[in-house]
Amino acid sequence: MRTLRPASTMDDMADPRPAYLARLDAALVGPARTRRSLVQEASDHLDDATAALVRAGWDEETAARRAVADFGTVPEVAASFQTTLAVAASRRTAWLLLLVLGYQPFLWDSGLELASETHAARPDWWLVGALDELIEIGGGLTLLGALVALVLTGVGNRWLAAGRVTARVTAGFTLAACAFVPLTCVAMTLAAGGWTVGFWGLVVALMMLPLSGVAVSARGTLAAA
Amino acid sequence: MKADALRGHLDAMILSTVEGGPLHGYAIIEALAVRSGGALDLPTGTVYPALRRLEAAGYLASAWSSDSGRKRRTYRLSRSGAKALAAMRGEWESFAEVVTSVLRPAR
Repeated sequence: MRTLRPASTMDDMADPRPAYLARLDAALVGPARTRRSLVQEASDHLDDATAALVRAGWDEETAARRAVADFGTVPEVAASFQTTLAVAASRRTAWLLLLVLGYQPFLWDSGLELASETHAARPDWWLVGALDELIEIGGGLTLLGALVALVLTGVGNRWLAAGRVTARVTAGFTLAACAFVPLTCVAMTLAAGGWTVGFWGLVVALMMLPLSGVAVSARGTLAAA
Repeated sequence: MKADALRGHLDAMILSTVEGGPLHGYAIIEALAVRSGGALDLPTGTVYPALRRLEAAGYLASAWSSDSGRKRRTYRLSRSGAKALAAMRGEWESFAEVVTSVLRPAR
């Protein structure tokens, strides 16, 4: 149920800036830090613009209204800020994907060498070999995709402005990677047969849970885009 | 002058405003308004995403600094931003020269 707030309504009538900024903040979806800094910049701008108009002889209330009007309507400014937030979210998602995929070779091929543990049972079965190839190629492509997303949302802006489409593609690709990598690893493990409870514990802790976090970030990116 | 034609060169104009030193968002927008003689008529709020995009591209660097007791985000031109601005200027001058030559009334 709505409650009447006469005092704040009066305040809003006198100075439209707080209500404008609250509406703008409420309209934005995306990484909290970027959202806060964008709204803070908007607030600073409105204060500066109001102060400049007051110095030019305007009364404070009219100056604040003019500053808000010049800044743009909430829908047009929010649409513009939302692109920045979507790109920032996709960049965070691409970094997380790269981070989690980056240590998978240590988990499987060197360091913990989980691959050799699973291959040991049926090393010569064709399905194990095929899945091994699929994981190598798919994993490489996934890493490449994460790198491309980072370039597109960073220096790539020099040639083509990254926007919501880039963010959506990055999020979709990441969600696909978050399904592909664990599924192929589970398939490989079941095919090879040489697993233990400790093995699954490591896979869940070092691959599935981190990738779940990446998938959550990708869903957040889709919401922002 | 058509604002759409100016918007296509917004990146170069923004980079040019910070060429003289770091500026915060409002000062950049004020400089754009003054330098364009008021012809760049766009909602001022939509300039901020352009600043963030230029920062992501590595052409601008930003930092929160204290100004008159208030913390504000200021933008400065990076080395690659200065190179890009020089290239954009060169392209614009060549373009303007060609168009001016073609549009010159025949005698």
